[in-house]
Amino acid sequence: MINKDAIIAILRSEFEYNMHRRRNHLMTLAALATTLFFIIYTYSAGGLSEVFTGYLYIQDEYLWAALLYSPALFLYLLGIFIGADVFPHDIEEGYVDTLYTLPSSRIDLFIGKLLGGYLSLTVYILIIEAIIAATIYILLQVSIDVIILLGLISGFALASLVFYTISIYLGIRMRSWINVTLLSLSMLLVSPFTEYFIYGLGLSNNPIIKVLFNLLPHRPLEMPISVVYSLIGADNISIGVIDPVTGLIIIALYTLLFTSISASKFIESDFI
Amino acid sequence: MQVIQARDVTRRFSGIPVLEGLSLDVSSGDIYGLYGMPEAGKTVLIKMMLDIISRDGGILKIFSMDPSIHRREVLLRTGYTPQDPRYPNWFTLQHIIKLKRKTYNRENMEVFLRYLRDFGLWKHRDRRIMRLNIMYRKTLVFLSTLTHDPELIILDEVSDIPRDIVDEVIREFRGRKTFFISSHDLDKLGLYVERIGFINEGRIAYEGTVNQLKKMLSDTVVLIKISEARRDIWQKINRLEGVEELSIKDRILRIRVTSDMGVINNIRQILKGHKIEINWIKWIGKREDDDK
Repeated sequence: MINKDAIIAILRSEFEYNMHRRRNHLMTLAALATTLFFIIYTYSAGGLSEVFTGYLYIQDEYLWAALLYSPALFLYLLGIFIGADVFPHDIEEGYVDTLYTLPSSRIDLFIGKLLGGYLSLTVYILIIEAIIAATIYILLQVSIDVIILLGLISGFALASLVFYTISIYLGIRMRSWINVTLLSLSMLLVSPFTEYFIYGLGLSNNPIIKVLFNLLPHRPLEMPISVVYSLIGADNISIGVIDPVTGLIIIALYTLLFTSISASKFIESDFI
Repeated sequence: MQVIQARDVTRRFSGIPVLEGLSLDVSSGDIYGLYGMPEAGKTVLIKMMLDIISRDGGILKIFSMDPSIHRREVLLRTGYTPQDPRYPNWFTLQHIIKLKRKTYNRENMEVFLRYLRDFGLWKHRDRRIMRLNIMYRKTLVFLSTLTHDPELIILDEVSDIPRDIVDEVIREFRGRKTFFISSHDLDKLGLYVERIGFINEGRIAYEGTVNQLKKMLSDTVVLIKISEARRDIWQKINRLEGVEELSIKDRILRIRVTSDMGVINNIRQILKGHKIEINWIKWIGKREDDDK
C-alpha cells in the first residue's frame, strides 16, 4: 500500500536537492543567457522577425511565442540532467544509507523521487520561461497571451517527460550520472538524424514509416510548438511538426513504458 | 522474542561470495556485537537487514518479518546509524529531524534533546552536518535515531562515536531496546556488547564472549589480499609489534599475528598510506598450511 506521508517527504527531499544542485543552476543560466543574448542581438540587428518567424513558420504577431520556444533544447537537456541524476546521485554521494532507510516501501521511494525530480524540472522550466517572457514583454512591448504562455510551458513540461523518464531508467540501470547523460544526449542527437536518413532514402511517403517517425524520441519534443500552432489557429502543422494529440499519445506511451520498467527494476535493485 | 533471525544467508557480488551461509539469532533486549575484519561482510549483512541490498538465498527476518517484503514496517521499528552517514550539503540536524518527523509516526524528542544538551552537542544543531567531522556527524545521527523510539538500534562501526555517549545510551535503554553493533575493532566493541559474533569467510565463525574470542584470535594466521605487492611495505608491516612470519604469494599477505587483532588496523593504515587497496582479509585460525 502506498504511504502518502513517506512519498511527500521523499518528494520534497528530492525537489530541494535538485533546486540546490549547482549543475542545474548552470544549465538554467546557460538557457537564459543563450536565449536572451540571441533575442537581444538579433533584435538590435533588426532581424528578429525574419529569423524566428521564418524558422518556425509562425505569423509575425505571434513572434513572441516563437521566442519563448527558442530555449527548447536547453529545457530538454535540463530534463536529461535532472532525470539522469535522480537515482545515481544517491549512490554516488552516499545518501542511500540515510535517505533510503527512512520508513517507506520501495515503491514509495520510487514515486517520491520520480515526482520530486519532475517537480523541480517543471519549476526550472517555469522560471526560464517566465524570465524570457518578461524580457520579451519589456523589449518588444507586446502583450503576451497567458493561455498560449501556459500552453507552451505545459507542453514543455509534458514533452520533457520523454527524456526525463528515459534518463530515469538508464540511471537505475547504469548508476552513473555522467554515463546516463552522455547516452541520453546521444539518443537526442541520433533520433533526428535517423529521421533525416530515412527521408534521404526516399521512404518518407510510406504510411508505415510515417507512423514510425512519430515514435522516434525527438518527435514528441515538438509538441509545445504544435500546441502554440493549435492555439493561434495556424494551418501549417502539416509541414512536419507533430500534432498535439499525437504528441500527447506518444509522450504518454514513453512515460508509461519507461516509468513502469524503471519501477520494476528499482524494486529489485541493490542500492549500492 | 527473536528480533533478528538469519539462516544460511548468502550473497555474492560479481561471483565473489561475501556471505556464505551466515546464521545468527538476536533476541529482544540483547546487546549483540558483530566483529569481523574489514570487508568481511558486516555492512552487507546490516544493509540486507534494512533492505538496501537483497540476498541470494537463506532466510532473514527482523521482528519476524522479511525486510524485503515488509520494508516499511521493519524500518519504522529500527534506528540505523551508517558507517559514514551522508546527507545533502545544506542539511543540518534540524533538516534530519524534520525529515524523520514526516516519515515516522512516533516521536520522542525529549530524550534526544537531553542527550544533545548533556553532551554539549546542542551548539551543532544549526551547522551543516557534512561540515562536521565524522565523530560529530555520526554521533548526531546516532542520537537522532532515538527520536522515533526504535526497538532495534543498529550501529555500523561503533569506534567513531565517543564511548561515554554509547555507554549512556546503552545504560538507559538496556533491556528495553535491542542493540546490534558492528566494528572491526574488537577492543572497542568489547566495551559495550554482551555477546559477540565473529564473521569470517561469509559466516559466523564464532559466537560467545569477547574474552573467549580474543583468546581464540591470539596467535593466529591472517590472509590479506592486496591490490599491489611491494617489498618496502612488507618491511614496514614486519616491523609492527605482534606481526610474525610475514610472507607474500600472488598478492596475498600471510601474517602470523601473535598479539590481538588491533594490529590489523595498523596494517590497514600502512596500506592505505601507500594507496594499496585491500580486496579481502581472512582469518584462517591456527592452520599452518592453509594459504588458499
